[in-house]
Amino acid sequence: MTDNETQILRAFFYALFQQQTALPSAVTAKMAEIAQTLNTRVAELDTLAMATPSLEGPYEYAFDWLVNGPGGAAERSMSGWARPGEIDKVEPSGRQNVARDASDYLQEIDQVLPMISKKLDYPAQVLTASDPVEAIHQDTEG
Amino acid sequence: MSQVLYPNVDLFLYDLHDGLGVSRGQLGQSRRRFWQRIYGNGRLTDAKLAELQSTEKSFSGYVELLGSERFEDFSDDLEGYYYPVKLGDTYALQVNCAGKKDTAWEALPLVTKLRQTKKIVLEHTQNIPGGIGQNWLVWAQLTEPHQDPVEVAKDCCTALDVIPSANWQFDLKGKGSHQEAMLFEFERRDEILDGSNDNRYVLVCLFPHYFSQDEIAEFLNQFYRDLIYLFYYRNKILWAYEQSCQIKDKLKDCSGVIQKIIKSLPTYVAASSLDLKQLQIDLSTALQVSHLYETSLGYLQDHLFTIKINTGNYSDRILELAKLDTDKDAERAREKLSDPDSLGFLKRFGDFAERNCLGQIQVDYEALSAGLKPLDNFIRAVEGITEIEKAKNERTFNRTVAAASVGISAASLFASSYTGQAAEIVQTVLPVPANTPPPAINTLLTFGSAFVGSLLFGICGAVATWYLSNRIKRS
Repeated sequence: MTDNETQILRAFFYALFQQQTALPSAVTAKMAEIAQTLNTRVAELDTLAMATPSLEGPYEYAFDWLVNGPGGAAERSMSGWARPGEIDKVEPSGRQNVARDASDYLQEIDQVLPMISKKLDYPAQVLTASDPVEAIHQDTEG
Repeated sequence: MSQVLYPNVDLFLYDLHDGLGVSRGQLGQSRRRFWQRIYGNGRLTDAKLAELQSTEKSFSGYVELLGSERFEDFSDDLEGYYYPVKLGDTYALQVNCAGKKDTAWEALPLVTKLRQTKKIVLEHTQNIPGGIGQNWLVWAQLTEPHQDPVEVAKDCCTALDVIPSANWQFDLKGKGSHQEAMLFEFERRDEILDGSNDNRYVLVCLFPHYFSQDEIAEFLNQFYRDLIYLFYYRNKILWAYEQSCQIKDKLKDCSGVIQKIIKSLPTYVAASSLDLKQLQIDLSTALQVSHLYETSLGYLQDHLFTIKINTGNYSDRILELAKLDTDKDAERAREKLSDPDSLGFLKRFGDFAERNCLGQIQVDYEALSAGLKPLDNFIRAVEGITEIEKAKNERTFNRTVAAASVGISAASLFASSYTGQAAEIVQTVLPVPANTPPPAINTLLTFGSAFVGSLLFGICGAVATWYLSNRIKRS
C-alpha cells in the first residue's frame, strides 16, 4: 500500500467515525465489495467518499489534514483562509456619529443631587430629629 | 455529541475612543487600553503607541489599524489572529481562534474544543471587556446532510457559556439563512441599569457539508466585514440606550428636587417680610438643579441622535446583506428581511431599536424637557421677588437720602443766615462793656445757639420731607 493509499484509508475511517446515522445500503454494499480486494482497490474508497454526501466533508477535511500535517500549508490552516476581506472603498460605511459618553457625568450627578436634596430637606430633618439640638450642631460641625 | 469541521470562535470588542468632549489624557488612556489587549504591557511601549496612533489619522469611516499587515497572528502553536479597525469614533477588535496546532487538539470533542478556544480568546484580550459591548461568533461546517443544525448550534452556545444556564425558548432569539449558511442568534440582554452594558450575544454560523473551503472563505470574507459593522451599530444603540435610561433616572431624581423647590414659592409670595438670605440660597439651589437638568437633557439629546443614526445605519446594512441573497434586488431583499426563516431575525433587532430605543427616548426627551418649565418659572418668580424687594429698598434709600439732603440744606441755610445775627442776640442778652473783650460764655453761646438752631431746623426739614414723600408714595 502506498503512502497516498494509507492516507485515503485513514481519512475514510475518520469520515466513517464522524457519521451519526447509518450510511445508505448501496454505500455499505460498495464498501463490502471493495473490502474483498482492499489492497488493490483503496483508491476506490476515495471515489466512494467523494460521491457520498455525508462522507465527503469529513473525508476531504481528514485527507487534507493528513496530507498537509498539523500547522502545514495555508490551505490546511483552520482559520487562516477565512478572514475579513479588504474593505471596498465604495462600500457604504453608514452615516458617521460622534457619541458622548455620559458615564463620568452620571457619577458626578450621583454625588451632587443627594447633596442638593439634603440641603432642601434640612429644616425638616432638624425639626424631626430625636434631638434637634444635636442634629443642628452636627450639621454645622460637618 | 455534534461533530463539525473547522470550528472557529471570534470575539468582537468595541471601545468608544474619540467621542465628544474627550480630553487628550482620556484619549491616551483609551488607546492604551485598546492596544493592551494585543501587545500586553510588555510590548506596548510609548514609541509603539505613537506609531499605532499615526494609523488612526484618516477621514475614512473604516480604518484598518495595522496598515498593510492587517492582522496580528497569534503565536506559532495557535491558530488565531487579531484584526483591529477604527469605525468613526470607535475602536473595534476582532479576535479569532481556531484552536491549537497539534494532533491531540483534533481528537478533542467539539464542546471541549470550543471551551478551550474561548479561554484562549479571552486570554488574548487580557480579559479586558469591550467598553461599549462585545459579541461572539462561532462558525463551523456540518459534516453530513442529516445533522440537525439547531442541535449543533445549541451545543456551540452551551460550550461557549456566554449565556449562563441558557433557556433555548427565550435565549435562542432567531434563526435564518444567508447564502445557504445557517445562522442562529442567541441573546440575553442586560436588564440591570448599572452602566456595565453586559449584553450577552452569540451568533452561530453553520455551513452545509457540501460547501468547499473556497466557498466558506468567500462567504466569510464579506460576512466578517458586515458583522463588524452590524455589531458596531448594535452595540452603540444598546450602549446609548442604557445610558439614556440612566440619564432618564437622574432626570426623574432632579424632578423630585424641583418639586421640593417650587413648593416653597407660595410661602415667599405670601410672606409679609422676606428672608432675603434664604431666598438667595433657594435661588442658587434652583440654578444648580436647573444646570444639572439641562446638562442631562443635553446628554439625552446626544444619545437620541446616536440611536437615530445607528438605527438607520443598521437597517441600511442588513438591507445590503440581504441584497447579496437577491442579486442586488432591493425589493426582494426587503422581502427576505421580513421572512423569519431568512434574515428576518436581523430585522428584529432593528425593529426593537426603532420602537423601544428610539421611540422611547424621543418620547422621554419631549416629556422631560417640559419638566424644566416649572423650575424656570420658579427662578423667574424668585428673580421677580428679588427685583421688587430691591426696588423697595432702593426707594427707601432714596427717601432717606432726600430727607437727609433737605435736612442738611435746611441746617446749612439756618447756620449761614443766623450765625451773623447770633452775636448781636447774645450781646443783647448778656451785654459787654465797650473796649472789653467778650467773655468766653458769650462766644460759647453764640456758636452753641447757632449749632442747636441749625440742628433743629435740619431735623424739622428732614422729618417734613420724609412725611411728605410718604404721603406722595401712598397717594
